[in-house]
Amino acid sequence: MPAQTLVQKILSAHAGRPLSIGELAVVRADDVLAHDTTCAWAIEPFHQIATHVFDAQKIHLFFDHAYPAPSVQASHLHTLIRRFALEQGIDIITDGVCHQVMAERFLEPNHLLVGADSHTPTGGGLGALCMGFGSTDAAVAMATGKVWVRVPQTIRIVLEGRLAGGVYPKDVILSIAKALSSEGANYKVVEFCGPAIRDFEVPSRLTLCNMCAEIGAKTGIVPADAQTEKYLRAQNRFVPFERLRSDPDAEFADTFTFDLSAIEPTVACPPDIDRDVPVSQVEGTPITQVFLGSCTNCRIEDLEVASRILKGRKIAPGLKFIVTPASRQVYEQAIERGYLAEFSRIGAIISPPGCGACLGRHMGVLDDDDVCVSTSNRNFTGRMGSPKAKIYLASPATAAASAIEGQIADPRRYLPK
Amino acid sequence: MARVWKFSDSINTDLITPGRYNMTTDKAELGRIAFIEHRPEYAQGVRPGDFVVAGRNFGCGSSRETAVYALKANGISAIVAKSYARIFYRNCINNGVMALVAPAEFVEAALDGDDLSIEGGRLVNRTRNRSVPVSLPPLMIRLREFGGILNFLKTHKIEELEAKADVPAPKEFKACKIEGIGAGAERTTARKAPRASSGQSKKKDILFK
Repeated sequence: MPAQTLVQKILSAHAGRPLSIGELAVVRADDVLAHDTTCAWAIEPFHQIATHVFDAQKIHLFFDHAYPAPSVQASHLHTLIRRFALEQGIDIITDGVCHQVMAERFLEPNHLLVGADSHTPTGGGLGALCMGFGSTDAAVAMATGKVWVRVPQTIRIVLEGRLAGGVYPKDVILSIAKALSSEGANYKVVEFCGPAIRDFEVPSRLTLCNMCAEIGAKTGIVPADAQTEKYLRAQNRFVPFERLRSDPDAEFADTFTFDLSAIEPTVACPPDIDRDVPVSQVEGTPITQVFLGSCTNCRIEDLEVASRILKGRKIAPGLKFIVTPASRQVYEQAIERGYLAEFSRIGAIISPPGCGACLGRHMGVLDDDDVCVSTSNRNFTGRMGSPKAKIYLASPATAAASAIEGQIADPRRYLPK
Repeated sequence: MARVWKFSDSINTDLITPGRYNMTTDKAELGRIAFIEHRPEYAQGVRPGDFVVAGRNFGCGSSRETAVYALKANGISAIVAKSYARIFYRNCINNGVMALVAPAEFVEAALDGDDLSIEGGRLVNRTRNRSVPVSLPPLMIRLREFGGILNFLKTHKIEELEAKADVPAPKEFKACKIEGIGAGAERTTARKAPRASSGQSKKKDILFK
């Protein structure tokens, strides 16, 4: 058997035959994900080709993009999906952002997820092959349990060295985005490896893989290992898995090595993901809103980092500081650990788990003059509201420090010595 | 006359159908909100047969298929771009929407309102006197014949889409050579109707209609 990449191995297992890179294959899905917008557009296409879903247990429908509904329109989409779910015997999940909940409850290493959302790659942090698709593909996958894919090339990202204080996985992936550009990994898969990745716990890996979508990748993936096992055990759902790896002599499209110790707190300037600069270059930029949320960066680890910086301090007067835990699990952990009370006391708005302000639909829509520091993944023009608003992407630490000052701030000044 | 609507690099799907406007499953309504904030005059002025011409990484960002539904509802002939983001590109394939890759020079020369057409496998800009050969991946051609993957699946199994080498990454078409219509001696040959009447080229004309 010729040498294969990790992704080739997973796809081959799901096609039932060995696949070559570049081949057009039809593969089986272990799980299918859609949410309150992409599912709404999948229902009519689904009914064109099927009457029943291939397996209701393997289909996960989330209300997260606009839930509870901010408008009659959004509520109507929920009604359409509820009717479909009821008819097909599918559960509707309202416990937070789909990608976070998939990691907590459903994804397994080496599995294949067809997700009708561009940030589906997030789950690659568990060593699963999670690819984003449109609603038609979701309809086809719900009907047949399958999807067509072109077997992608792999780009290897080798991580070496240790992160300095005040620098986080978000800064790493923003630095990678700058180096590779917003289409640098188009059609390819990003596989993270190297000595440093072993120390990255699953939540950090979810952040790295999540933003592979922003550099055009089909997905990002971290081969499953002891960290993956630790995470799955903590979620009480560990099932032994094969530690699949790319063969050393497999064909890679490119290999890039990053020295983590050289990375600084990084900010992506509007309106593109690859306009990344060290925080020092934009420090002092006045802001009107901080959004601590999204599938990229609002896990309990992220709230812990923010709490360490915010504890005993105040947020800038007049600033809108929105905290949106990624899932119900994160929300409850944050209550138990006292973070939410702490954040509320200093003036934060705590919103229910979900996508929240990230996509400009509700709970923090920006106006023309707004400038937002966001821990989310897109700083596109108009993403969070008015096309005139400005969005700077940063780590939860940088976001917290900026909330204190009311301007973009270097988190290293606020870290306990 | 089919006209060009020219867009820049990195047109993301939030710009095509913004999150605040696309909460409907009505495709005609989606057509009316296309580029609603980015370029409000587009949806008012676009006519069936027009072309959307853009730079690199067209359709990046969100997976929302409304972006493709909206452009399809506008009745555009094709999208022409330097390169595409992958989910948008496959949404085009699945919906039978033609997404052509053209060399940078051709895209950059095209301006709003230019007279663009597809003639026998060539993309022709009469206003700028330029033409360029274009090709579609076999899967896009095949699903266009059916009007999209859903129609295909009404009579075929999904496995019938498998192929040894298909859907080349659009970037690979970069090698297309520009043959300027206005370039001296080539002028007459290039203006001729493409390749008389072999069965092959007839089929192509149908595909590129």
